[in-house]
Amino acid sequence: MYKSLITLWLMVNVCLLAFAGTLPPKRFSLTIQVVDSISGNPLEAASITIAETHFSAITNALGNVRIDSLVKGSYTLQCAYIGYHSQQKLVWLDHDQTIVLAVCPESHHLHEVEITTHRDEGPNYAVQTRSVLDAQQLERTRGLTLADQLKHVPGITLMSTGPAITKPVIRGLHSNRLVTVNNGVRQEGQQWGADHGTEIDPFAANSIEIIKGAASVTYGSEAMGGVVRLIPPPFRTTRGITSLAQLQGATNNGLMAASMLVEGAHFRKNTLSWRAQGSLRKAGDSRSPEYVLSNTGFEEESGSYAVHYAIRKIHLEFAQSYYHSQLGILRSAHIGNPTDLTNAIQSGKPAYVAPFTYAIENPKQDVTHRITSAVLTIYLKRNWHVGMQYSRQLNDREEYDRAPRASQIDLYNTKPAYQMSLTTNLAELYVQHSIGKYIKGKLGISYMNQGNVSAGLQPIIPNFKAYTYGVYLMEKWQHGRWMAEAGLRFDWREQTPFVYSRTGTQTDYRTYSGLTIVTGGAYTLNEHIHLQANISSAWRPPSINELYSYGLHGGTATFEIGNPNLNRESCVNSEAGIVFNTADWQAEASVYRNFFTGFIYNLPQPQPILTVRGAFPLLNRVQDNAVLQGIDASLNRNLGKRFSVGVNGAYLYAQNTSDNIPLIMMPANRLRLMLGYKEDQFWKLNNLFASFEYTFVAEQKRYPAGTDLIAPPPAYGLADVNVGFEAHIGKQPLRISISAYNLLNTSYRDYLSRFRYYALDPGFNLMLRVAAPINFYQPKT
Amino acid sequence: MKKLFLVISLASISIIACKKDDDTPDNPTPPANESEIITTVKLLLTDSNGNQVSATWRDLDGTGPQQPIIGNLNLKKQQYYMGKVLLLDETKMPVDTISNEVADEAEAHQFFYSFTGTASSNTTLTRIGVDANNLPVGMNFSLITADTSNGSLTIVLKHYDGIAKSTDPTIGETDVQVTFPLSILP
Repeated sequence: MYKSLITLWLMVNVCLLAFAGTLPPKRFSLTIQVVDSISGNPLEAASITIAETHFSAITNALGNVRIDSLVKGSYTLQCAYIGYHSQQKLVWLDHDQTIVLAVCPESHHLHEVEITTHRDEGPNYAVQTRSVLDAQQLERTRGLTLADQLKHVPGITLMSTGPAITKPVIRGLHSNRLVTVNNGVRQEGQQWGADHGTEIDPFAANSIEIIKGAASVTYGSEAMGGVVRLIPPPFRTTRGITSLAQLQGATNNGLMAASMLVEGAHFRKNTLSWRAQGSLRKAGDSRSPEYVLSNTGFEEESGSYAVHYAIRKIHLEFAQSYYHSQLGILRSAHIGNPTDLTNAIQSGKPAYVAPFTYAIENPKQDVTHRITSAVLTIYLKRNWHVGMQYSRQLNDREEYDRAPRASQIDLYNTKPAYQMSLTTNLAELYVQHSIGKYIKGKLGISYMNQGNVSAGLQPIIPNFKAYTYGVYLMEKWQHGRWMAEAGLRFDWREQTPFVYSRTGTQTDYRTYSGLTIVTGGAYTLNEHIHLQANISSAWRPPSINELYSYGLHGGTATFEIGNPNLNRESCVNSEAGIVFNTADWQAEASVYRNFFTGFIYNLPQPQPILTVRGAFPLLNRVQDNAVLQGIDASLNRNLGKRFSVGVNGAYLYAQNTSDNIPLIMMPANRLRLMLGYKEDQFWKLNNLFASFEYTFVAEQKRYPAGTDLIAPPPAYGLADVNVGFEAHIGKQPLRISISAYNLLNTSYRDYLSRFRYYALDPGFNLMLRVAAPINFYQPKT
Repeated sequence: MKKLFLVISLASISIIACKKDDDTPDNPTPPANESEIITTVKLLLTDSNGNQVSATWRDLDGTGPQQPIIGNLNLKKQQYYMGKVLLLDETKMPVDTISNEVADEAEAHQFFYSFTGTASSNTTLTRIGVDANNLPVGMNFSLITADTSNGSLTIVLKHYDGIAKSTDPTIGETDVQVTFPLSILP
């Protein structure tokens, strides 16, 4: 650890020396034109603000603003125009230049900011299929879990362990085949567990980007299945203090949620920006259409703050976040042995049903996640900057079990059945650069160390230490209608687990290394059609739990044993996509084929394991070849100015090609229909919208026969309705929306709902949301 | 320039300040063995002449890699036995008699017995003893044997945690489910 810090320190100093000379006070001019991103028409009276100089102006009839006498440096442009998504862009100025800012109408989903001079944007997986959920879309689903917010994106499904514990599944892959990036930091938790949620405050994100495909070059080897990137709101650049207060309530589980974000910026020169955010969520038992899902409540408190300080070309950011959650586990899922599981399946309803309560009893999870991060960015020259990031995160997971005898309740309430404390230090240094006119790239090195301490009554994974070293290069070439991207990464990992057994502690030092390659291209045929294709090869080392886990899995009455002889898992993923856009039609489709070598999964063994509670099915980790292929597609049509109709769907075929049998627990195919209505103004209300969505989830007919106690549940359909508007109370704007989920109170069980053996999924839920942006202090310009 | 150094130094200090020394000890302490493990199920039977017969099901490492050692239950034909089940945690010093705790919480527990093989038609088992709610507990039983036969005896202990106790054997959580090979000898 010391070594890496010393290296970091040296690099900082070298960078400082490079800047020791004084800069010539040369002045430049910057012309900005604001245009509509759909029609291309210039926009008059759009407001342009430059944070660093505290300049603000309004565009003329040609959509232009000209600013003179700017010194060389980086500037943050902010553009606001009524009816359009506001936009912010960092611009490097070292010669007189003109920039075209294309802003996107609010009636459209915010798409990739198109600026003719892609100044500082480096390689960004532009050839992979990406989806972005913007602030408005997120605000309309606030209060739900993170995975619930994402599941409307075609190709993304949700895996749940009761209503409160959910995680996203991208094209059939989840857990340690996905990376979640929270405010620029790779979230390191015990993400391997299917019953471990995302452990992130869903309120912290202002937008969420999803990369569906291997993005391991810059995000590390676990990103072989994709990336979920939670992006906080950009720092304020103009002076003042504003805030956003949000409240949510829901009927199904008595959810009460509140969140407050306060942002500020100070000083005309060398702006100091900050934001602080806190949120609380508390819910009781969820209700299925037929009964209360007892002990499925949760209680979550989280908070974060971040400070950003810029002196000319040096930007420094420091952030800390805290997340704590207590999550009840469905009481009826606590069973003794496989006979109990069979009895639960046969009875068809949970054995334990109590009246609704907010109380959370054992079994429960208690999770704490803390992150501290510091980022230093030095803008060297046009298209060149150096970034340094260090983060430290502590993840503490405690799982409490029910006491076997009443006399042991005190012990089981105070001592978790198992506890895992994972500490991760991540350091990264990169240089964003340009080669010639058309190539921009990123060269980086990364270091990670990780340590886990297990404790509790029955620990299931050993203590371990792991170190990962990575080096990567990614370049993007963009010229005219063509774009190409290629990346390469090499990782080396060493790990030492301390496996405890009756004969003493054994260490099992192992190293893994591998190469990751991403390559692809895109071509814009005309203003309507954009094509892209990519092929990537990625790998990951087997995770500690896959190698050494040992123990009983209560909810599924299975006994899992790790396999220390596992090799690395690798995949080759190819994908092709098309985007079609006109004023009235928006369509997107992508086809993918992900071929895995050494896909790690659980294989039921013929011989069960005999315990005092009876014989348990034994699962062993094995490796086989597998293929996951499918199509994600969406189509949207505007019918006049107010109405729209859309459809999207996902099809996945997942097969173990070594044994030629389907892979288990793969999301069923689904289709979603959407009807939308919007009105800019009605009476005293603005931005009215109403939508109706119907999701049809097919029965998963492809599953390996004889490995599950019960066949996948039948197909189901769910109807949702959302209505919202913006109102003013005096001068205070309020955004109000109401959602009705599972409108028809349909009884259903999802195949990826891990408690489908015991109970139905939740029924009708009415959710109310209020958001109020509050201006505390706005200095006059 | 001074300012620059100041900021960078502050950044570096904050980075270093966040660092603790070693997070993972090289020699982890073994997990404390505080939770209840039923390692041993003992069947104790006494015939009408006072002769004792017993059989033991023992798995000292709990769910560990060692397989349980299961003793045979050898009974004589045409006998009347009084029997009881003893549950032990032999990993504790002194040995923890879990059946005492089960007896203390009789309202939340119930034993079930079932036979397989030819022995099932040559045995008559009657559970003895009821809890405060007049529902069977079954830790003690009487057993009448008929002719020579073979088969097995399975003992199940159900635990009712927040669930109403009932004589239906499909209800409740299973705490114990062990099977003894059974021979009824001449």
